[in-house]
Order: sequence, then C-alpha cells, then structure tokens
Amino acid sequence: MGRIQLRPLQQATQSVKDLLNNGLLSTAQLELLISTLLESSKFPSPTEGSTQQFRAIQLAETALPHYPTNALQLLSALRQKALARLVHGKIYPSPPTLLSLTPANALENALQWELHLSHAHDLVIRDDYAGASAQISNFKSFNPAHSSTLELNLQKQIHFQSIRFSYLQGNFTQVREALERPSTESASYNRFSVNYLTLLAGCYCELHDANKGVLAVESALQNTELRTPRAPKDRQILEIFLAETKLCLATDGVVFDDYGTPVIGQIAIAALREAKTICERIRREYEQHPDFNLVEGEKDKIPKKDRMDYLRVVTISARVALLETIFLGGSIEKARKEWKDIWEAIKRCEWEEEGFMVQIYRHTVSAMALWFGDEELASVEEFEHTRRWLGESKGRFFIVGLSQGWVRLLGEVVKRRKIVGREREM
Amino acid sequence: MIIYEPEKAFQRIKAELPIAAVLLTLATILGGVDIPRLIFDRAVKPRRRWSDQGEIEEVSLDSNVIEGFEQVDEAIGYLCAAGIVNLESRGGYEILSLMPRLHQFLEQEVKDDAEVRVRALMLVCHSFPADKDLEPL
Repeated sequence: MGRIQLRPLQQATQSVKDLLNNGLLSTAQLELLISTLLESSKFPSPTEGSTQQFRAIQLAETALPHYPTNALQLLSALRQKALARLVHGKIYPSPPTLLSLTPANALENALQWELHLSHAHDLVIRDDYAGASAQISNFKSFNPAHSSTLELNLQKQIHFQSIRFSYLQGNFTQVREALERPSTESASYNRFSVNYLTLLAGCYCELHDANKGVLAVESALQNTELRTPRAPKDRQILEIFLAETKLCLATDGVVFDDYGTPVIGQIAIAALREAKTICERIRREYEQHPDFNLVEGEKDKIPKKDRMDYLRVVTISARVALLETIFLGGSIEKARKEWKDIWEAIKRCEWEEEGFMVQIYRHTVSAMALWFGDEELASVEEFEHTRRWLGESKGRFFIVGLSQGWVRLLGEVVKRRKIVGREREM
Repeated sequence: MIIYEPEKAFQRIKAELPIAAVLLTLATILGGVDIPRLIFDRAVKPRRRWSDQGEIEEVSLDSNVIEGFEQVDEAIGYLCAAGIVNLESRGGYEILSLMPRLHQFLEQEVKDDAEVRVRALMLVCHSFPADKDLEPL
C-alpha cells in the first residue's frame, strides 16, 4: 500500500521547503510529515529505486530542525543506518549523542535500543559478533515493572537477534537448542518467518544434520503465508536456503574410499541436482534485471543486499559444479567458470579486499588446481596459507556450510589427491 | 459534463457540490494522475501511531483538513459521472486521475495556494501506512 502512495507523496512534498521556511506547518503537522517521510524511505520507487528512499530521508532531515524531538532524530538515524547498510553495504555512524541520551519516556527508550540494535548490525559487518551481542545485552524497559507494547515488541526482536549473533559466532548447538526449546520468548517467534527458519536450517546443516534442514525449509515453502503479496522475496530467500541445505546434504554424502577414489551416493547425487536446478533458476531471475550488469565506472543501482543474496546463489552453484567435477566427472571448465563468476560477484559486493570471501575463493581455486594437477596455477603452500587464514579467522557463517564444511572437504580433496599421486608414482 | 472550457466546468462543480471542487484541487497537488482513492477515503478515519508511553494510539486529522469529507463518496461518484475524473481498478486499489485539460487549468489555480498544499500534504501523510506492528499488512 505504501508503494502506490509514493508518487502522490513526492508530488505533495515538492513545495515542502517553502511551507517550512514560511512556518506554515504546526508541530503536529511537522511530526506527521517527518515520520511519514522516514516511513516512506522503506519503499524503493518502481521507477527510481533507492534514489527516492534517500531523497525522502534528505527531506525529513531538512524538516527536522523545525521540530527536532529526540524520537524523530532517533527515527531518522535508524533509517539512515538501515539504508546505508542495505543499499550501499556501508556503515552510517551512529550519532553518539543519540546513543547516550537519557530517554524521557518508553518511546524514546525503545527507539534508542533500536539504535543499539542497528549499531550491532554494523558490528556484524565488521565480523565483531561478540561486540554485537554486547550492544544489546542490557536491554531494559523504561519502566521495568511495566513494559510498554512497543518495548515488548522490540525485546522479542532483540532476543532473536542475540540468538543470530550467537549463530554467527559459530555456537550452533546452543542456537539450535534455543530455537527448538519452547519458552516465553520462543513462543513469540513466527515459526514460519524466513529469519527463524534460515537460522534453524543453518544450524542443522552446520551440525551435519542437513536432512532436518531440508525438511524445515521444504515445509515452510508449503506454508500459505508465503503466498501473500509480500512473499515473493521471502520465498526466493527460502528457495536459496533450500538449495543451500540440499548442497549440505550432498556434501555430507561424499567420501573418498581407501584408494582415494571419490565416491558419491544416490541421495547426494539427487540433492546436488536439485540444488543446481534451484540455483540456475534464481540466478536467471537476478541476471535478467536490467541494471544487473554494471558498466565500468557506473554507480551500482542494485542494492547491496541483493548483490549479497546473488553471491550466495553463485556460491552454491560453484560448489555444486566443483563437486560434480570431482565426484561425477563433470566439466572442469564449467567449474572454473563458476568460480570465476564468484570473483565477479565478490567485486559487486565490494568485498574484494582480503576478507573471508576472497580467502574462500583463493582456497577453493588452489584446491581445484591441485586436484586437476595444474601445479603452475597453484601451490600446496598457497593452499595451506589460505587454510591457516581461514582457521585463524573468527569464521563467517553468513553462507551456510562455507566456513567449516567446505574447508574440511577441500582439505580432504587435496589430501586424497596426494595419495592418488603417490600411488600413480608407485 | 463535457469539458470544453475547464474554468467554466470548475465553477459549475464548485456551485453544485463544493467538496467535489475541493477534491479536484487536492488531487491536482497530488499530481493529478495515479492517485489512490484511499488517500481520500482514509482521511476521516484515525491513523495509528506509537504514543510517548509506547502504546498504540489513534490520531485524527484536524477538522479543517477534512471539512466536508463525509461527502467524499458522493463527490467522487459525481466527478466520475461527469467525466471529470477517471477511476480505474489497479492491483486491488481504485486509482483516480483527472482529465488532463482540467488538471492543467487547476495547476495554475492552486499554484500559490499554501492552504491547499498543506491540506494535500496532510492527507497523503495521514493515509501513508505506518510500520507493520501498527498496521499489519
């Protein structure tokens, strides 16, 4: 409903600066105007995309000095931070004065804690999961004896996010227990929500119980709530997760026998093919977007959040291609091309600095070259170097199965290649 | 009513049903085309927001903004029947557009009318959906 009102809102706000400068708006009208502009920044325009979202915030910021309440300033900071993160993949600094102000009522208290939560999301971008947990660990209602509805809603969000931060730290057993255990807080989760399901399915996969992960996501996809107008994006994210859980199922089902020969079972083959089919379809959906291919020097019109989801899909495709090559005699060239695509997707996320994804890319490309005997393309030293880096890093569990399971499998691939090599020499 | 002369048509509407004329000026500020009808329909209903106490409260638009709005249905029906406004159903919503010649005329009429601008601004802000906890989709 908000989207269809964007155009009339834009039209009506064309002369806002005049109205503000001439003092024609009452405080109640200013409050309504600023809060509406900030709310409208949640909706990208069908024609202008995120440009409209930033313009709405800019206009709200122009109006704010005319009625600078703490609540509106907090709301504005929250929207600026969210947009910077989701659209540009960047951190908008939290205003220290707002983080440290003494709230005068329950509304200001809730908004201030929401700002702490937003700050915690920024820390996650920097891989500081413990810092993120600490940001929200002392949540308190304005009147602890009688929490308001708004604070109770936020408390549920904070509780869920603290579980998520714990997941990102790699505490899968604790997180699975927390999500499965019936409790006052867990009773409030929407057990069909994408956030809940992806976290639970992720735990199952990381704990080598991928079958349960597949079942959880599959049953969610049958749910009618995902057929609402808001659902296509949620559905797509769940489908990506289904591919991810299927890939984990396949990865758990591959072994090397005593002679170092790669062996894959029928269940793993079927799971691998299903993951591949899902990914191919979703990749096409992303790649068909008219702004998908960037021209050199042009500003990216695709939100970073979508670029990250795309990277996630490509990462699944590329892992599938490599497993097919090693275990099913698939095309080497295809696997190489898929991993080249990952590099492109990393660049679009602006993650080409020495971070986790770059190391995973290098580690896999080294392992691939060593397995195929392309010694000039990679060395064992390089493979070991990236492995050490990944082992020493705090882990990054943004993409299911990539941090632990994949690294372990690649270690096995390179080890077995050596055995095969030695046997050949003998 | 066929609009040969937008000014005369507007004067006639003003005389026959004043609130219809008001809707036309407001719709002009809102761009004249692709205006969801609900902007006018929701004007008389309260909007939800969070109170300072963190509870849901309902607020209404100032009475001067919605003066005459109890006749919105009648006014839209009148304007449609007269061929001044086109109402079409799109994506489950009724969308309203003014006849282009009348829109052009009214743009000049309301150009410097701050009161109409404030009124249109408040209408669209009031009808804009609040966050999902206040207004589940």
